[in-house]
Amino acid sequence: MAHATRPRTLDPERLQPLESWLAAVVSASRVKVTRAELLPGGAIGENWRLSVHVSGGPRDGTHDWVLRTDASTRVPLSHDRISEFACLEVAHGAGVTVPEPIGQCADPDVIGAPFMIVDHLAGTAQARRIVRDPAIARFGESLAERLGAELARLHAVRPRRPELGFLAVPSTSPARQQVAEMRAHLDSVSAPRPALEYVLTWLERNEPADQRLVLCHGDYRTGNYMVDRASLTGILDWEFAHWGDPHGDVGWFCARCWRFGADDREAGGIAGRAAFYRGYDSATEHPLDPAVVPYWEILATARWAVIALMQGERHVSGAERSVELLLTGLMASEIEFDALSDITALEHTGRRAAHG
Amino acid sequence: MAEDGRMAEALLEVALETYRDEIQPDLPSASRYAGAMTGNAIAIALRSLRQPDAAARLVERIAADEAGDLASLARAIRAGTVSDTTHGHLRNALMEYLEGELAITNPRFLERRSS
Repeated sequence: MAHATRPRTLDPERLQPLESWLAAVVSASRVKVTRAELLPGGAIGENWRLSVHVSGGPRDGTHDWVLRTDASTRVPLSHDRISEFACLEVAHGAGVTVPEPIGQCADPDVIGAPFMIVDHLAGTAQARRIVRDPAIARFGESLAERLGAELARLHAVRPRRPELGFLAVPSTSPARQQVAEMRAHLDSVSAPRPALEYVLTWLERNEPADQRLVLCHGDYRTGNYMVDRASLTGILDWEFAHWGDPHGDVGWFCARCWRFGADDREAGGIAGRAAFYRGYDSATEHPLDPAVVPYWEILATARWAVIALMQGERHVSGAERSVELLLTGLMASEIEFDALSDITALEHTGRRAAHG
Repeated sequence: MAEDGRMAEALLEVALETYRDEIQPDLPSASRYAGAMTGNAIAIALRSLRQPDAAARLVERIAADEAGDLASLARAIRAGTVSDTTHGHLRNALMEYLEGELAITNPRFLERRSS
């Protein structure tokens, strides 16, 4: 088994407390959960697909919802479910296509842990399936444009927002804030990584001059949006949302590490980046600056290296024994190699531009 | 046990062969992902016994004058006392170090990047 067996939170044999809670949240006389199915994946959280029948109230009828709760070992970088729900609600209010937020519960006594309920979306979020779809050449560009536009709508949300009071507003530039956070996380990793330290120093010394603060998704990439019959059905996984520079999300989406082998399709492995940029610029008064995106891709690569190292550290520290976690930590060499290569390539591009 | 390193290498080599030839092909589909990772882990352990120590070479090139180990080098880079300015070949040395690590953890990665 790749992971040690984890205790589950929701007990499909004891749903009455959840049903009572749901009835109150959706103003129904009664809610019956007719089926609870644990969805695959869920390294950070548990996702359960619930088939529910609502009697009375504005949501009277049959629904498919998703209950999302924390796994027993949550990555320290991510929000808890209650904070994630708040980010999802704000995104929903800004017109971003997301699963409809139904409700959130901070009381651990209902199912054993805090949780949130959202609408279930049709389609798949499996990155390799999307990237390797035989029809990607036909629908990839339009999907990339749509994803760019959705991101621009999210980036229209600016600090401060009272419902997002738990999100720290950086006291320094977004780039320096991220470098500082990465260094802090790197300090928790037992193995020294001089190449990654070099990359972080380079990022600190070469940050873009113009940066601004918007609500960033924080993990905007292929694998975190649902596609059904070649169309977007919703953006998922809001647990890394934060105040940051909008190009941070663009760099993450376009970074090589998130193209799932389709390296020539620079926007998320689905299309060229021009389509993604075009969609973004069509939905905002603040068009992207393509010249700074390579910097943010290098930052994205460094961030992925830190995450991989922290995954490996979960095994090394004894928190969770897993060959998969240990192997993920070893991927740091590949990621650091790409970051250093990208720095060299970017500097060569700059020197070519300077000399005409 | 005499020649522990060579015995460890011999054990891992035969364990990997036996695993790949006799066990992995018959794994049920639910176990194939874990099986692939297990085989990969054994292969990495075997290569780590056979490859030269990349960290030692990096330390020798860069960190010898900075207290002489990888952790000290990492701290010095963060502090700025070791940089491209002080060591003009620092980035190349770090790339060579990573290539040495990758020869152990994922040799096919370098093949893909160079193709």
